[in-house]
Parts: sequence; structure tokens; C-alpha cells
Amino acid sequence: MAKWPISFRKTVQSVWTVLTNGYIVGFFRGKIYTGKLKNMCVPGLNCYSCPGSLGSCPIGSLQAVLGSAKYKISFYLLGFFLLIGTLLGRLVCGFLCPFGLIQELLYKIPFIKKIRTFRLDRPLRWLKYGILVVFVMLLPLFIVDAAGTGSPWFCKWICPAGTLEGGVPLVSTNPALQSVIGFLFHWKLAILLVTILLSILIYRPFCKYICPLGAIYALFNKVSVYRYHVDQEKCTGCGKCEKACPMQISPVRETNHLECIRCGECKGGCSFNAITSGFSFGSKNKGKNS
Amino acid sequence: MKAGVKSSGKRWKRSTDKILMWQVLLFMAGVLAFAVGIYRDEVRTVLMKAIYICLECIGIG
Ligand code: SF4
Ligand code: SF4
Ligand code: SF4
Repeated sequence: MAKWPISFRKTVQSVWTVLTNGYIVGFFRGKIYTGKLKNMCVPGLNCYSCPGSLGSCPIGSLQAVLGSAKYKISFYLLGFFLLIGTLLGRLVCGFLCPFGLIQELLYKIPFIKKIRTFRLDRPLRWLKYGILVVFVMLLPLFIVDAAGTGSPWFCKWICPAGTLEGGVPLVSTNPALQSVIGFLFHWKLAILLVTILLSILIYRPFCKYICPLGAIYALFNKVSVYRYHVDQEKCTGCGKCEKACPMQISPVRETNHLECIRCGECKGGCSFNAITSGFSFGSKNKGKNS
Repeated sequence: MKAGVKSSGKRWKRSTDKILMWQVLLFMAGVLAFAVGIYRDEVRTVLMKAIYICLECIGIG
């Protein structure tokens, strides 16, 4: 039987992206879906202003609730992050995030030299936590207008996913929007272009350094039900898994690290089947190596 | 067997219990918070933001 041409993970990523962005007519009409499904957030970074999007973006929603005059804390989003984070951790990043998939595809574009790591790589990974606290939480909460409403600062000044998934398709198909673009649009377009260029050079730069959603799920990686396990009896310490890891962590010494997006590359890299993953309560793992 | 693996068995069991405790605790807190959020009608704020084009997201507002 012919082999399926793309990996299981890429298949899940692609199917999920298409399913959660299935409002195809939106792309042609330059409009967005306005139905009840948008009550619910999708787990990954998926702009709710993407014409195809059927769900809400958790980071946009968090800013919307924190910035509203009515609420100053969001139990709905807190509960959402606790549930998804405890069950999956950053498995969301590896499997269920359209913007993660886009960056991975961009990284597939050949270039003379890809950058695996550089001097400030590790310290810069902390930047996303700062962005989460300042742009997603504090600024929308405390910088408010006369009506007590705050702006979604991360969406407005940083998020390239919003520009790519929402801004570009909507502005290119909607003449009314074209007539009002100004500095902010060009600023966000510039951030998007830098993100695209960097994604060709570096594996998932937005996920590594900027994404506040990845930062939230990272906090659950150590305890999430879906987790990795290294069988110390099988591991020979050859280091092949570490070389295979696109996030540049050591699956053996740093199992379930904050930066682990559960992509499974390390499992494939290990010749001794020492690394397994799966859903398990407690740290014991009955997962598979495949 | 590698040195230290056997001796760390007990410690490993303890960490398993601890992780299980965190999983249960966080999951229950999640269910509770999610329910409180729905009760407070935060969902409406999310929906209202999501069904109109977010001008900030697309770089206009
Ligand atoms: S701009 Fe970014 S953070 Fe905001 S709603 Fe869109 S994808 Fe989410
Ligand atoms: S870090 Fe953010 S953009 Fe990257 S995969 Fe995770 S949620 Fe998506
Ligand atoms: S440790 Fe393994 S699963 Fe985690 S990011 Fe690295 S290669 Fe992927």
C-alpha cells in the first residue's frame, strides 16, 4: 500500500486548521463568521478576524474580557487555560495551532544556512512571558478610556497572526477597509514580514520568543496529562534525540521542558525506543514510541 | 541498570503522586473557573468581540 505522503502530525495540523477555519465563503466575501460557535475558543492561536475562523482566539478573548468595563478578571478564560493546559500542555503547539503550522511550513523553504541556535537564544525565550504579562494582561486592564474599556494591546501592536489571518485577507477583499488603512496597518505588516523572514531561517521564532499563548501552555508542561517519558534503562546517552529536537532542548535531561512542543521528533531520532509519550495520570508513562 | 536509577525509585514514586495531585487539582480548578465564567456571562463578551471584525487585530483600529 502506498505510504501517506505527509506525517501523522502534519496531517492532524492541516486537518485541524481547515476544520477550524472552514467558513470558506468568508474569504470570498471579505466577511467573517458571526455564528454561535464563536462562543468557544479554539486551543491554538487562530485569529477570530480570520474570514474562515469558526471559533475564537483565546488570547484575543482574554484581552477582550480583561479590557471590558464589566469584568476585571476572566474566569472563563482561566478555566479554559487550566483545562486545556492540564490535559495537553504544549501538545496544542505541536498539533493544534494554525500559526505554528504556518511557521513550520515556512521553515521548509530552503535557505543557504538555517540558524539552529545563537547566543541569546535561551534568554530570549523568556520574552514571551513578559509579553503575556504586559501586553495581554496589564495594559488592557489598566490603560482604559473614559468608558473604562482597554485595548487589546497584543493584538493591536504585535500579533502577526492577526495580520496574516485577518488583516491581509480582509483588507485585500474589502474596499471599505482599504480606504482606512494607515500607520498601524503598515507597522503590523512590517512585523508580519519580519516574522515570515525569520521563520525561513529559524524554526518557529514566534513560538520560541513571542507567543503569549505558548507561554501559558508551557506553564503546564511539567504536569500535563499528555507527557513524555524517557526510559533510563534503554537510553544510552547518545544525544541523537537532542540533535533531532527543533526547539533545542534535551529530551533526556529536560523531559517535559517548558519549551517542548510535543512534536515527537526526538522519539523518531532515538534508535533505542527510549522516549515515549502518551496520556498518563501521574508521571508514569504508558505511551507509545511511534 | 544505570547507577542511581534504583535508588531514585522512591523519589520517583513520590514525584508521580505529586504530579497526579497537581493534575487533579488544576483540572478541578479549571472546571470550576470555566463554570463561574459561564455563570458570569463572560461568554457574551467573547462572542461580541469575535463576531465583529476586530479592527485592532487586522491593524486598523
Ligand atoms: S490578533 Fe492575534 S491575539 Fe488577537 S485575536 Fe487575532 S490571532 Fe488572536
Ligand atoms: S507558541 Fe503560540 S503560535 Fe506557536 S504553536 Fe503555540 S500557540 Fe501557536
Ligand atoms: S523534546 Fe521532543 S517532543 Fe519536545 S520539542 Fe524536542 S523533539 Fe519535540
